[in-house]
Amino acid sequence: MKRALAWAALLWTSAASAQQLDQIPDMVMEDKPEAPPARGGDQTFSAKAFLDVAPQATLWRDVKAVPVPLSSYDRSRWSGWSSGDLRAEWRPMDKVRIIVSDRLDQTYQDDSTPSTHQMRNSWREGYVGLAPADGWFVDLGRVNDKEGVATGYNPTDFFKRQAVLVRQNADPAALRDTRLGAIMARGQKVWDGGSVTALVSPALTSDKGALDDSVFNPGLDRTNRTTRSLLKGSLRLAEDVIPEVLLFDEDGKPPLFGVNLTRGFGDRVVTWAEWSGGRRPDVISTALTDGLRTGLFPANTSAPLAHDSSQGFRNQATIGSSLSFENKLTLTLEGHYNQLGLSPAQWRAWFAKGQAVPQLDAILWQMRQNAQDQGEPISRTQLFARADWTDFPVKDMELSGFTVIAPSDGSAYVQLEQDYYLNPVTTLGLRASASLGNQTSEWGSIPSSFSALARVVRYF
Amino acid sequence: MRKILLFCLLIWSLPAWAAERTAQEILAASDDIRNPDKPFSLTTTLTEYRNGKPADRMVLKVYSKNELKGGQFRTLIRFLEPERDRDKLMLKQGNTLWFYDPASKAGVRLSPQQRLLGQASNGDVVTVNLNRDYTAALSGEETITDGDHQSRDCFRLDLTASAEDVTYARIELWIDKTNDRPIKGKFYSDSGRMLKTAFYRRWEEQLGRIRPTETIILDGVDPNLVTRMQFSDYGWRDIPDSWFQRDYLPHFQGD
Repeated sequence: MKRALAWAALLWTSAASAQQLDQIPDMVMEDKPEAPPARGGDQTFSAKAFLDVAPQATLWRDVKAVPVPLSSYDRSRWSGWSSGDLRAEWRPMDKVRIIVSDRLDQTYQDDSTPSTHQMRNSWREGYVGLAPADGWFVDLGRVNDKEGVATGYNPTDFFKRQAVLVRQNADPAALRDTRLGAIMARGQKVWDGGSVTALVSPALTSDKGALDDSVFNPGLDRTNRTTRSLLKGSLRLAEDVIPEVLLFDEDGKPPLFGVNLTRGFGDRVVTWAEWSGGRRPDVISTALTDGLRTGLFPANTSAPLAHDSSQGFRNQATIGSSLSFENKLTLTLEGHYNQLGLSPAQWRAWFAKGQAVPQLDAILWQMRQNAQDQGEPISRTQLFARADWTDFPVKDMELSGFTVIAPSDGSAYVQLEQDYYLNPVTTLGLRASASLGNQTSEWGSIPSSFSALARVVRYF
Repeated sequence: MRKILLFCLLIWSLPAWAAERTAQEILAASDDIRNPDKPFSLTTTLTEYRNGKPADRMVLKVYSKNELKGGQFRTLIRFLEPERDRDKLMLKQGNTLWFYDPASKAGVRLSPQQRLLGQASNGDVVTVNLNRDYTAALSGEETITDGDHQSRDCFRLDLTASAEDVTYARIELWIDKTNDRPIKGKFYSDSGRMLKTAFYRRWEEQLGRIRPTETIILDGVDPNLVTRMQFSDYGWRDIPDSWFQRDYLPHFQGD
């Protein structure tokens, strides 16, 4: 009896396995292995180029609390862009790389008189990469040095300041794609278990005067206005414990310190923490200094809000985690802390001052614009959540979105994008974004309330 | 006389006892078939089939090297297709996964369970020594049908994750009793849900051993969702240790 049962179990197992195989279509089982791709990794030149075309519609709210000093044409209901993007890498000889990365944006706003078309070239990178010995690397030229492990805000990304020329997308990930690198010399030693990097980015333009945003200006007044240097190292202390420590210096200002850490938990959770600290001014002092230096503010301008003008030790930090689900959904949640930003009391003062003294509106808004150019949150705290859902709602579609929430007033910015991968070289997309909140809140006070766009991206 | 008999019995049973392998040793032998013992590279072509028709495709160049300590593999993956993902990189360093996009210069940490294409997740395309991350128990001996519709006498091993951050909490693995080849695997989430079934097939001599050059992955729920992983362009590679550091990714030059 026992033997019969054993045989029955054996036959059932074999039959179950065969049944599973039978479910696989013949085409899969009999299909001959395809030839390796014609374009492999054995080439000395590679390039990636795409065209990105998007018309956009925007709804504007009538901002009464602190009106934004915008001309009528800035409030275009219809706008859009056509962009060409190229990244090329050439290896003329062993251990030598030449990298060029460039983007040309043509933006237009067609709702008002006169209609306008603006062209702007972003020369993002152009450098020679050398590998003189195993694990040693030297990069010379314009390099996009991006630091940090977080998704929505990177306190240790010291080279983000004023690096974005054209903002077509508020998504922090997209902004990293389009930003300018800085002219620098970068040396790095990488070994099994750690690395050390040192870089120097010299001042090449005057620190004074407004930014020159003419079409083909390389933008060195944005990226090489001051001499900056960075020293960083990482070391594996234990399995999955590889902290990264950074030391940043700018033209004799007090040094800034930074730390990056990541840790996985189980097979689907990743967490990270990013911190930077140092003696530095808050957003109000920085906006005032920049406004006076560039001539944007009259010489006698003083800080519009009460604040601590000392260069005290101030912290910035991000703590975040992502969770991947079996249905191809990945959720990310982050908390951002920026001790340089406005406190809830300063926000109340911002609105009160703007309503009481309309002459200050331009300066108050420039303060917010300046923080955005610096790549820093204007508020002291914010929450960031992101979702990426591959093959949703159907195959070849991807839904992604993020929100930034100001916990002090409950206002939020929300962006959703649905992409459809029409074929391996064409992506179609729809994007909608909205700023939500009342008129005396961080996000409810900005003039654009809702925008939507359709997008076609074609790779070559 | 009794002592002599006992002694003879002991001597007679010794070779059989010595030949008896533990489940962990069987798993290690199976790992050796899937994974070459020296640094190597290969091309992995993933094709996703929906209702029997090819729906999507991804081509990856895979570089793998065994760690000196611990015995786990480190893997660097370069995306060759589709065009929108070309030249992006994925690094497995220990059990951590990093994704690097040359466009944004951003390194993003990923979880092994995050899906790559079809039924294949990130953890499926990197080289893994199961013996290092799982505790194996022999749960039976069965005859099953392999990926080429042949009957195979197999050990059935129950693998339980012994390390954090591994792609699957539990695996059932059928290994051919005669040659230690992995024939079939069932992969489970930490909630106990069966995620996928894999059949190893198209056995060919590659890098000095007969190895599977194809894995068919069936979705745990919908049998119409099938992903095929094909391995080609095998080659021994002299890969520096520095390649497997996150900070190396911006300098990657490929071959």
